[in-house]
Parts: sequence; C-alpha cells; structure tokens
Amino acid sequence: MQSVKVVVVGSGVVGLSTAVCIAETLPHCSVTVISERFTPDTTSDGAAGILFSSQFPDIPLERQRRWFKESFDHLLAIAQSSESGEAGVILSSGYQVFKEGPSERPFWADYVLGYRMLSEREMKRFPEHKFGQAFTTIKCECITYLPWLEKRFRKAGGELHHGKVSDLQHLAETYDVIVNCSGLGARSLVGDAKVYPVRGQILKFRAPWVKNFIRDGDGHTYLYPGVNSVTLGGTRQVGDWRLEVDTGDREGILERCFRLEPALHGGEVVGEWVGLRPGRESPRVEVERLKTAEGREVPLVHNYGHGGGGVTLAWGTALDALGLVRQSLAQHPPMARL
Amino acid sequence: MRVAVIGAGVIGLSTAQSIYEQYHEQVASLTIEVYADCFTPLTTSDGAAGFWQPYLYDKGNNQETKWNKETFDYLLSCLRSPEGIKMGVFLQSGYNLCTESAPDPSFKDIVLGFRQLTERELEMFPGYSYGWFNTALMIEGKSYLPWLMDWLKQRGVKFYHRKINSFQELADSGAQIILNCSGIRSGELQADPELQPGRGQILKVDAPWLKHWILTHHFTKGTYNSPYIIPGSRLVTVGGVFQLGNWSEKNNSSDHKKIWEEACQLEPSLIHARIVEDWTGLRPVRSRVRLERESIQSGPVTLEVIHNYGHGGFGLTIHRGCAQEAARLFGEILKQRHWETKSHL
Repeated sequence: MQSVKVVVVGSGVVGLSTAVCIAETLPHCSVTVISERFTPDTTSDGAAGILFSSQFPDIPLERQRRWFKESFDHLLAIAQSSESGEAGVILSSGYQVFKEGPSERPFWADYVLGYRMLSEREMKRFPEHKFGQAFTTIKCECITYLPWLEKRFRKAGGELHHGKVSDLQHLAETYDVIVNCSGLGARSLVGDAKVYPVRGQILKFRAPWVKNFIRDGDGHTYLYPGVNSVTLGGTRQVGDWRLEVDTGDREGILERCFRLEPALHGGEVVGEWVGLRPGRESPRVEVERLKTAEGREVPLVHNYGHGGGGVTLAWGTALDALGLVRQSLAQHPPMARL
Repeated sequence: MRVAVIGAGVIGLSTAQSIYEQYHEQVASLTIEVYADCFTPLTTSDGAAGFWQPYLYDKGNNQETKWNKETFDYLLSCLRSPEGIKMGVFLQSGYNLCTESAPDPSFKDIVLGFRQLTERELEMFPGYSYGWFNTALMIEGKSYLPWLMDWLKQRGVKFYHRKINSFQELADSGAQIILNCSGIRSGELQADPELQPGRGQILKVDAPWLKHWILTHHFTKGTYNSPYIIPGSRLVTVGGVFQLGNWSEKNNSSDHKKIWEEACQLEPSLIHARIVEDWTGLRPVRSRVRLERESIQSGPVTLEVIHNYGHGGFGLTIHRGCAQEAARLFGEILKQRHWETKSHL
C-alpha cells in the first residue's frame, strides 16, 4: 500500500510532539515536518518548560485534564528513565505563592506529585504573600528535549525540511494530510485573528544552589532552576510583537525575583531571551477539510494556540491531533494524487 | 585569657565562633587559637556531602535532637542574610525511602514541609514501599569552613598548622581552657574506646539535572550503608558505605563499584553522569557525642578541657547546637574559676 503522506507545519514542541506521535503510531504514514525554524531557534527553546496549567474557558474540563495528565505521564516516564539528563526532562519541586485571591484547588493538582498547601512556618519565607502551594512537577527543557524528539522522529522514519509555509493549498497538492502546528504563525497562515502574541522576556541566571522553583501566582514573577541555569521571569505583554530585550523589563524581573528568592544573590546573569507566546483564548485542536483548486480534499488538523502552555500540553494535544488524523483517514481514505 | 581549640573541622571552627560571640566582650583580652594539622579543604567536614539530616531515630537522646534543631534553625535564619550562600547554605528537597513502613523520624518537625510519600511518588522508586518528602538544608563544608575561618580571622583568632600531641603541651604554652574538637583522632590525645571510625566512601559526579536528594534506608543494613544521592551546588555526592572499625582512608574499588551500581539502580539517569572523583572519610562514631568538661590535674595546675567530639555522620547537622553548648560549658568554667570579669588580671 502506498504510504499516506503527512506533513506537519512547525517544529516547536507542539509540532515535533505531534509529528512523533503520528510517525510512531501510524506505520503506513510517512511524516515530514516543514518549518521555518528549528531548535534552538523556536519559541519553545527559550521557555522554562515547567509543567502546570491555567484553565481555558472554552474547552471541556475533562479534555483539559486529559491533556495535562497525558503530557505529565509521558514526561514523567522520561524523567524517571536513564534519559532524564539527555532529554532535559527533570523532576522539579517548588512553590507557587499568592498575595491574594481565593485558594481553590487547581485541576492539575491531581496530576502533579505531592500537591499540598504550604504551612504557616513555610509561608514565613514569603512575608509578602498570604498562602501558597507546594508540589513536584516536571521541567522539560526544549533546548535538549527538541533535539531528543527530533532523534526519535527520525528513528521512526520522519523527515525534517527547512522552509517557510505560506500556502496550505500548495501543500495539499503534495500531501494527504496537513497538520498545522504553526503557533503564532497560524495568525497569518490560516488567517486566525484570534491568535496574538504574548511577549515574554526572561533571564538565564547562574545560581546552581537554587534547587526549588518559586512562582508568584500572578504569573509575573518566577524562578525555575534548570539543568544549567535558573530561568528568571517574566513578562506577559499582550499584543506586543517586540523580540528585542527591554532593559526596563530586565530590571523589573531581577528586582522581583531577588525579593522572592534572596538566595539568588551571589549568582550572575548568563543570558537573556525574548519569546512570543502563541496566545489564544484556547488552543485550537480540531480538523477541517481543505479543498485545493483541483478539487482534492485533504484533512487539515489544527494544533496551535497553546499560549504559555505549549510544553505543558504538547503531548496531550498531540495525541488528540493524532486521533483526528486517524479519524480523518478512516472516514476519507486519501484520494490518489494527480 | 588564652583559649586553645584543637581541630579545624566544622566542630572546632564553630566552637571557636560560639565562644568568641558569647565571651569576647565579657573576658579581658580573650585570645582564641586554633591548632590543627589539617585544614579546609582536607578535613572530614570538607568531604561530606553537606546535607543536614540526623539519623532517623534519636533513640531517646533528646539532647542531640535539641542540638540538631538548634543547628537547623540557625542555618535557616542565615538563609535570609546575604552571607547565606557564601556560607554554603541552601535549601533542597528530597526523598527518604524505606523498604518497609517505619515510624516518623525524629527530625519531622524540624525540617520544612515533612510529609509521607504518595503512591505515585513511591512508584518512581521500585524496591521501596514507604517514605517521606521534605525540604532540608545543605551546608557545604567546602564553603562553610573557609567562611568560618575568615569570620574568625577577621576577629583576631589565630591559626596554627601543628599537630597537638597532648593537652599538657598546650597547657605548658599557656592555654587556660582547651577545646578538644579533634574528631576521629581524639583517641590520640586521650584514649576513648567508644570512639571508632565509621569509614565512608563517596563518588562526586557531574549530573546537574538532579535537583533532589534521595536517601535510602534498609533497616538491616544500617545507616549510610545503602545508596544515597545528594546533589550539591556543583557536583552530586553518591554514596554510601558505613564500615565500623575500618581506618583505611584509601578509596576502595569494590566499594566504588557497589556504590555506583546501587546508585544507578536508584537513579537510572546517573549512567550518563561523569564521575569526577572518589573520596574516603572516617566518620568519628561514638555511642553519643562527647560534649562535657573535664578538669585534668597536672601537678599544681588544673587543666580545663571541654570535649566536643564523636559526631559520627552528623557533624554538620549538629555543629551549632554543640558549639553553643560548648560555649555554655566555657561560661561555667569562667564562673567557677572567677575568670569572667574584665577586671581580672
């Protein structure tokens, strides 16, 4: 049987995860990833990659829980294996502290490890905050994880091609299935005006004695100890397309992080980075049919718009996308190419 | 008033510190001298992983639990100061794993966030069915000892690189109170059949992706005789063995093999870690810490000695509590011998 040709647009954590899922699960598919950028130049590469989530308004909670759980379990297995250091997927324990707001138990509390509220004694360390959560989660560093996924993808027979995709119609002439993981690029590629950048600036900081993460529940201040440096952040600037470093943001991040974790004193800045989160009210994981000028119809599976939750939800949404690819192929076996 | 401290490991240096802190204003021209044939980074304290944790159970020795707690609280307070990281003090969370269910350890209320391990967490450690998670402190000798020495030097404490062969020797040169912090070799100054070496060997490996300490407890094998993995600020310490009565300070290749294999079983990712070095140290093991006064008659003179040795594998864990107690005993001597007022000749 002639193999089904699948193309995945985008090679960030969502694109590569989706490509691996398809290549490993559907042996009759040959999978090609086409992307303008590859690791280490994707948005995913700069992300700290700590797994935990916010809740999306339009997606049924059951589905979000499944996305989180599947991603977490997949990465936990890697963290527990001999590959942890090689893949850059590690266990990370720490705290999320809040200055205000109701202390509801978040849905992901069931999936991380050892989730509990902080005791009064522990809260003494955070005089500006009222309450907090402690848990152990995963940190997935794309700078190592993406190359690790690429290796896995190639082993499953996948191919990686460098190129900018601006016309899906054109792709539909060559491929039987298109999977759109173009992140922020979806705004222009599929004309989704609901996609917008959420600018994030971070610093890479050398302080190897800082072992626990601390995040302010407002999402604006966080420090995530990684394999080789601590990621200090951050900013959440909606609609901001600037990729250059902003010195005001840098000063703000340093000041807030040092207040949250005085142990950072004695360390030093070793890098800076800006990324644009592919913001959207909710991730778009669904299928539609794309018609070419010649009348060919190919399934177009969307998997984009994960905002700041790309690393957190990549595997779970990839599995959903895989399901949509399978479903499409079953319902409409690919037409012969002219 | 001349005070001599024998030993420059964590016990000797912290004892000198406590005495200085509490008495330098009270006592006229207090001179503190530290004598040792071994200084950082070559002391037993330097090689240790630097992890604050007492043995699981204190067996009714409330005194030692109290000193452990005092040390933890003191180090925790140091975290807030900018000196904290220079001292080599930082927080780290981790796992204590047991092969069977066990009573809560004596330190459960001292450490931060102590709790039982959940089912899912235990699934991560095949072979272990029970355990605890908490956040504890690291106190790395390689930073702490130099920091203490600087602290002492800035305050006029003098250091002498010299092996002391007897208390008398120091008394002859004018020392009025002697602090015996000579660790494993205290027996050379005064025979002590209760003091024995608890030989330990460790590997230092480069595995920066590890962010938790993991200690295992096999109740038949004894403390420190089962694998432990303790990430530090630079390298990860992998152990362990605890060989009572073994005086060898040489690295042993079959110990190395056993330690490495067991650790890789516990933490499979270690297989990709670069082994940097081995180190062997002799824990100064004793049934209980010897922290007491002894007045030794030597002709017409009474030598006042305060013993502070025998801290086994928990010297860093208990050091501050013991140093403060030694200082208290020091004060007792001053009172008894009427040495405390500034007006003393």
